Amino acid sequence: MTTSTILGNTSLTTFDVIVIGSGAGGGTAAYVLTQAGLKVLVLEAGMNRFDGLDDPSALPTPRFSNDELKMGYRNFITPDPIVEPRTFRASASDGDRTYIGDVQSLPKTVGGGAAHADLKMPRFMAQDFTLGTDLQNTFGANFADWPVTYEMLEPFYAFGERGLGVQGLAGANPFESPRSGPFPMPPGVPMYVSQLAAIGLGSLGYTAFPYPMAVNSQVYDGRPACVDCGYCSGYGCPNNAKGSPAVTFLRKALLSGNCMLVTQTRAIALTANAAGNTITGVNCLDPQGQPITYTADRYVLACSPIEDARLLLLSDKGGPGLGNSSGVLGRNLMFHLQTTAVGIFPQRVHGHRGKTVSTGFADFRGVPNDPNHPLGGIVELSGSEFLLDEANYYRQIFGVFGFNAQLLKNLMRQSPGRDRVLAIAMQAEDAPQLTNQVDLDPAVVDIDGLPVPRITYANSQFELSASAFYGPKILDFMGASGAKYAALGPASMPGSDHIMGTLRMGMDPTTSVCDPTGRFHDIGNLYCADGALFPTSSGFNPTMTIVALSLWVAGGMVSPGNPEAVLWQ
Amino acid sequence: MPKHLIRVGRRRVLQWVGTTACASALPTFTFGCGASPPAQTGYFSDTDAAVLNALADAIIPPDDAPGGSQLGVVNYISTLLTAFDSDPPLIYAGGPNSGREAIPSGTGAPSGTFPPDDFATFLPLDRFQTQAWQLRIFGSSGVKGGGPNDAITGPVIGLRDAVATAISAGAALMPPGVAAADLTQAQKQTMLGGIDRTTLSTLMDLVLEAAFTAPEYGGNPNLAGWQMCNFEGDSQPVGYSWFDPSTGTYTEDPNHPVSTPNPYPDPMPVDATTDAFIGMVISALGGKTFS
Repeated sequence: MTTSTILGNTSLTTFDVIVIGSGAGGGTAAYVLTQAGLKVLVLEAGMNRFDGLDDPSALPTPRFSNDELKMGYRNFITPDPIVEPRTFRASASDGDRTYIGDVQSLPKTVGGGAAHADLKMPRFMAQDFTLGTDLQNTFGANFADWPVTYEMLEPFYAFGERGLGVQGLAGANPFESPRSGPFPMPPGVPMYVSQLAAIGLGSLGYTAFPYPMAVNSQVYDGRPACVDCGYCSGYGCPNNAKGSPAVTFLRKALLSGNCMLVTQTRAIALTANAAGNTITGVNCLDPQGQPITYTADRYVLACSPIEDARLLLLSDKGGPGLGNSSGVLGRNLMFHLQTTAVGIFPQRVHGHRGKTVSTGFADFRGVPNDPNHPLGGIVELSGSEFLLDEANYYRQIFGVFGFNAQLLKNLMRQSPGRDRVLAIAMQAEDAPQLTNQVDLDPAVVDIDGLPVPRITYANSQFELSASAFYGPKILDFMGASGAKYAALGPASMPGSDHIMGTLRMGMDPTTSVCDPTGRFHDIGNLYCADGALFPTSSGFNPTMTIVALSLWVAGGMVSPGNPEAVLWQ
Repeated sequence: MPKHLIRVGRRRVLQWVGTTACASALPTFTFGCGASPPAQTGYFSDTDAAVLNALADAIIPPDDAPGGSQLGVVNYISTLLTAFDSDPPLIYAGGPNSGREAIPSGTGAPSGTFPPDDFATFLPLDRFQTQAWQLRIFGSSGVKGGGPNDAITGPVIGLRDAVATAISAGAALMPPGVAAADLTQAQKQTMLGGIDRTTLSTLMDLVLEAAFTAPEYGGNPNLAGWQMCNFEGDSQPVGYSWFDPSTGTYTEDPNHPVSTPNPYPDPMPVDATTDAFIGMVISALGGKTFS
């Protein structure tokens, strides 16, 4: 079992670039930079759970497993809110906070948030990059055009799909934007419950398609095919079939000889020159909690939008945050609004077998400014969770209707809440708002005594009206699919772990934090390479676009003005 | 039908025999010889264990299937509360495989060879996890410096204290002169009713975790909790879909397919009482019932 906290080329002592975060954004950036010959240090706050990740002779051995307790309940790779809480309030008028605990914490581990995801990898649509022009300030929101277009990112999408190994069927989604080529792999085995849903969708005129995902449907890039073990969403992959950034881009960076990965090393502040326009180092706490500083010529932030913003705020104690002349650092925080539903079938549909989601449809993504097709998002047709989750669903119900032990046991055995369930989630566009933001809680701290991120967030009427529009249609197709019962899930806020915004990219330094290359307007040697850059959230899972954008940013660092050149190096 | 029953039942029996042979003091555990088992440490007195078993039965009643006491609740909780007696602490079971499923053959189908039980080798914690689990088990009063936000949230009540509170409250309502083994289900329910709401929630967490999670954590003996729920459990490394690189095609497990209905009858259909309950819940949620 690996105990070393330093991986890759451990003899490196000087670095061209420091990348903070080893997930989809950081791992991808590290790959591009190291392939170009730059010496890169990757800082990761969490542990490495891939034994042999930097061993060129064999695939790593993940310590992930089909273990609901470890992954879902004991914070194996996610921050434990008892020592690393976040705080929440819906608006500033609520006071300092209304909640202390877990607020959309992504995994803190080598591979980042993508380590636990089922890696659903649809691209955004071309229309998603111009919502500033199309929607402007609809419902008081703060829509903006991206400074890049789908056409500009398309080669990076294609490269990213090949790098991670994405399965899918080109053309199956009638709403997808033009692709330069097919998916690297065909779709794998569809889930029974998804097939039932597809029948219902077809009867109502909607088009189901195999969900693009970075999961091998064949032996690919030396990694095995998925065995449909079922523990996918929320679980690290036990056999490396999932194209986690750790076992794809990051591993290749580590094997290049140009990369050193330091784990359990937490960045706590960036230091800057007196003018505040050049980063001079990264102050960290090492695995024992002792201070250590690393330096390089350039720095890349990729520790997810909330932690990116927190680090910049921690780096300017009492000030507005490093790189915040615009005043929008931490603002325009977005999550997808999930409209969820469950359908309960008479028969067992064994949704615990498969890749959690194997099928989706995009008919509810909508068209800007079309009242008959408001902007919702892609809909995931998924199976069920596992026994502890099931038992806790029943407990929630008993919280309303009163506890009945024998009924609990009968429910667990007959399993209407798991083994007979089709679960739905629409990942809908979340309108950016300046009032939705990350700042530092004035009193709540983590075990290092550092202020924790405070999330101030409320949905706008934009996404709430879309959810109200599509919710009844979701119930209708549940019935058409053969469900006996169906109900929409309760609204939750925030609703998804798709976290975007806080370091918006744009042309105008008065309204954005980063420029179109991902570099900070205010700081010449600091870049961002993750979802924090997103000006808008689209209605599709964000990871593929995070990867494409990271390739774009890192490509620009290597080849200024011609980032595409790195795709062919 | 539970997957492990029909596919690996014989192997499981052999493993029990082997386990017992190498660690006869641990007859209720399911660990390989080389593992570091979460052994019964004697954390609970016999009296406290009896009360805890009664409370577990009040949450999961015994009937034709095991109740909480038979699903390893005492052992599970004891293992967790003494997790830091081991190094690494018994918090995170290892991976990737439990040894309950076969290694794929060249065609992707199950071979006759099984991997070791990686779950039984627990994994190290980092400094955040160490602090978090010490706080969770021992509480603010049992950890130097307490929790980081005790001044705002109040001290963390440790699981040791919470479980002791539950046992104490349950014992207070135990009928005098009645042996634990002779308690009726109604008496057990009465004991459960004596526990305050917060402590009861914690106890229910623990009972359900014991019943329905991997046996390496100390509960779910002989996979009884999973089998009771007709749940196959962990399926790596062979999984349900078998990819043959030589043909580039998948074959699904014929007994547990991914894309088609189960080939066996529903082992426990929804009965009228459960159906009525679900209908009531759906109605309360504003949902729809389809004919």
